[in-house]
Amino acid sequence: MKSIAVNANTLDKRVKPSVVVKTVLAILFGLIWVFPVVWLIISSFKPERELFSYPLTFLPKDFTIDNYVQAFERFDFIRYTFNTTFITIMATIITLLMSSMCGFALAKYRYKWLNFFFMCLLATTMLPTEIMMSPSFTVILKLGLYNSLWGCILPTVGTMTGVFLMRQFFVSIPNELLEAARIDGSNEGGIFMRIMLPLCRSQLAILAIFSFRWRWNDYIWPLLALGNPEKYTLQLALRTLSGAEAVDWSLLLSTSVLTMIPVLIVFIIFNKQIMNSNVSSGVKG
Amino acid sequence: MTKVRRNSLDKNQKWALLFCAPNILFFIVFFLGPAIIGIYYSFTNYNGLFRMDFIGLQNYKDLFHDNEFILVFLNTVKYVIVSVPIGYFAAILLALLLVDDNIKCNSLTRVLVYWPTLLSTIMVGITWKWIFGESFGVVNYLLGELNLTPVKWFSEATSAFWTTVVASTWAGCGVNMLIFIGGLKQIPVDLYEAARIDGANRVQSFLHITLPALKPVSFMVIMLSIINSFKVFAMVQTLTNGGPGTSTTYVIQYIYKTGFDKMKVGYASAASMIMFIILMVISFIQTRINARSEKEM
Amino acid sequence: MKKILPFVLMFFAVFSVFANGSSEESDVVELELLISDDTLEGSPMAKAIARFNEEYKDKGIQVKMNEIAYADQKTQVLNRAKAQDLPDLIKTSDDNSFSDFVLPLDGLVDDSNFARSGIRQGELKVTPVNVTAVGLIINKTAFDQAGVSYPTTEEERWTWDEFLAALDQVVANSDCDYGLVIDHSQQRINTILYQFGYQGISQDEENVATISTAKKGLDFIKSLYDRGYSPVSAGLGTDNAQSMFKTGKVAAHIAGNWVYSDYTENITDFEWIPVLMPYQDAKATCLGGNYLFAFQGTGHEEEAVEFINWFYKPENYAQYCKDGNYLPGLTGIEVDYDVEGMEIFNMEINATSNAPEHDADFARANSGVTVGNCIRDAHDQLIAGEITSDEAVAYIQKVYKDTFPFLSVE
Repeated sequence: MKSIAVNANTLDKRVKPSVVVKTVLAILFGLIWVFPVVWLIISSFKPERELFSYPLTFLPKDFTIDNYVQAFERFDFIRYTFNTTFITIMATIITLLMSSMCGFALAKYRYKWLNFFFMCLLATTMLPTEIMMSPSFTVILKLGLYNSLWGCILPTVGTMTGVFLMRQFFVSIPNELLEAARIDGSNEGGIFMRIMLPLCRSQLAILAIFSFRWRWNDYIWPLLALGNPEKYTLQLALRTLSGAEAVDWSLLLSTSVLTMIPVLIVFIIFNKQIMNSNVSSGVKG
Repeated sequence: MTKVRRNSLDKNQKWALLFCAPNILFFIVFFLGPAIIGIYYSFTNYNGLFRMDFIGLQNYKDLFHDNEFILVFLNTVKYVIVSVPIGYFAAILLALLLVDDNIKCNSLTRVLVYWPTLLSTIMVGITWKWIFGESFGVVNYLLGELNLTPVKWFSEATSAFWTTVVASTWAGCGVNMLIFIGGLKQIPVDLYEAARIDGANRVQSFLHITLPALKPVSFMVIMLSIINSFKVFAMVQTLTNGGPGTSTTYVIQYIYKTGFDKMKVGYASAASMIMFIILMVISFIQTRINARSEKEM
Repeated sequence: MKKILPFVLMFFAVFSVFANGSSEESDVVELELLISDDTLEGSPMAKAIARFNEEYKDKGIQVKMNEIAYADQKTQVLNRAKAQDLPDLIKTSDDNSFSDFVLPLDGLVDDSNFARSGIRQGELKVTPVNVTAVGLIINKTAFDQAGVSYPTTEEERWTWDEFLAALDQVVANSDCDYGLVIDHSQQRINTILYQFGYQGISQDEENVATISTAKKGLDFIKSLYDRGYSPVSAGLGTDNAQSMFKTGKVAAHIAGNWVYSDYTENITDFEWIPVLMPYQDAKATCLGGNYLFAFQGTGHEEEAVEFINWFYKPENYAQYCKDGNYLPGLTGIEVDYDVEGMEIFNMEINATSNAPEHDADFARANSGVTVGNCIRDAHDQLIAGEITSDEAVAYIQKVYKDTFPFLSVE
């Protein structure tokens, strides 16, 4: 870690002129990047007539939480949040398990069919869910997953990105470790559970964060698989408003902010892990 | 000896199969199955309900003569060609700017740039629709205050196109930036030292050291960006709804519209298959080039 | 990982309590009513349902609203049809796409007072939950400020030229930046087309569609945008015309009576008033509205019919129309509106040419097959400058030909 810091420091002296300019630029970009969301949040506390009247003011003239009250009257947020959380947690646990197992196999065994399967998995990234909605729905229906939260969980748990991330990690683990464990008499399952899984904790954390993001923000599968409002998720609520013929902005703004809060909390808690995890090690070709 | 070895190999193969089993099952049920059904649909005039007659290649023939589909496809290609390089350079420049851990505000800025990547595509669409609102959006308001002409962000084809590019760059840049920061930190300092002694200026060392060192990472980023850009959907649907006219309608939205609003599931499936083949070709090229660059390393 | 585990367990503990709490067994039949876009109209359906539930709380029927995006309504209903999990009831403007699964109401619901026919494919299938008419709403404050008068009686009705002249004056002498916004809606666009002589399905000859009569109106609409009367963004729907009018920067809005609730509640900075629409070759308004109907095979058909019959009881129905500022879909219903000016819309309905309803009749007779929003799609490409009005007409003609092969399309 120390060498990297020195490294970056020296690199800076070579590549960029002055710390001041860089600092100013960094602040500027930070502001540009954060402004849209900040504006959205501020706007959500303005009454509707203020949203659509000039001149606009940065802060609400007439601060109100009416929009939020309305949103809570309109949607069963607690239930939606529970549903979304349930989907996210279950899907993430299964994804972690499946991806690490499959990634391990792809990295540490050499069979022709494994290579073939790897190519098959690659193909899955090519076909977006959205364009297979009709056939996918048929499958969900046939499996009896319709109108069940599992209908939005199971079709999403296999992810090429996850498998790939784990495979890349296991490739980097020396085979000697594996051989040594085999000589000690462990079977493959034991090696995986006791030796390999603990090693890839940080990769799993990265994948968990990815998975959280995907599932929390998913709306295609919930739209397909769920017909009962008691099973709806937060993104469906957002979609109900943003896909309306005449958009009710005051309600949409507050609902947007509400669906964003859990993501924000998770981000704040895991901020260090997210930002420090060397994502590139997983994605690097 | 050989026999024992063979035995353990077989055992390992069983384990390998076991490890992969959930994914294999998943692949068959949720990918292969729907894909085969989709291929079958593409040869029919299925309307999503009762009518389903086999019509052979008719859908594909029609697609190649469908001006709207061709237009939408070209829109998508244009979007990919423009948004991928912009996203790439934005990410690399931000990475160069923010790589230095010794500047205090860098870590905060990194967080701020990364944060939008956690938002859902619908949220991204909503956010920028709000910012770019033509009559009451904050951007046009500020332009007005500066006595500049407000921009018709959504009702004029070119600017609507750019709003989709801006929104996707904003939302996607953070991940790539982190990847590049990771890559930058792995470049040995000696290289820069040596270049400096040789009298190279900053641009030269960027071009001859930084960029080549980032090549494998860049490659990955660009390929993923291309595929993701082809697949853009919910964000643009929320932001411009494909308008004005069809100028920001990209392939996936076209497929969605054709399949569900117009209830031409068969036709939409055929369009999906064409899309699939195109993405397969791109990814094939990717893995080929990637394999070569791995060998070089 | 270990740190997270307790949280996960806690979550499931709470979740299971939560999930169990909701699944009480009882004899109450719970009807599901699928709906979109209720809030901006003042949640009249939500209020009606609340009244129904209160009245029926001991009679074993309760209704629950399921609100989804209008854009996804078709997808969801068709998927649910495949899953045999259709909602019991639906309120929608789409009386066309789902006719195969709709419960016939002949003999179950009295349709003798229906203002718009509920007969589809020879059977009573839908009920006109409300009727809407296209009309013109102006920024009264701006008109007064500019000293421009506006028509509230037939004699005063503007021609389009007079109307545009009036708008010129208003924009020049008030705070308004724009003269007019038109909703991004086929119904509103059609209204103008009819005013410019569009005929649609011919009333003289059988099975002839005279689409070419739309060209004059399309050219005119295009010129409205070209001459700056209206921002293209509103015409394309990327900016919501309704929201724009609410800013007070627009002199007039071609809208419908359903905006009343929203405007009453949210416009505080200026006064507004509905006035008569201009005409050119004809006076015209398009009727629209939503339909309430039940689906087959839900197992709750009887209760669904019960709800429909309750809903159309005069006192309940009048209250619903009052809450939503709707025009009643039944004749002989007196609605005591909280707002003024609703009679303008009735005047429009009385004055309109036959062409719009004739086209609507054609659509009803052919329910199950629809040209969708092809006129709006063509309009969008026209005003975005992608195609000419001739190409727009050709596009609409093609859609008509493809959809109704038996029509001869001119």
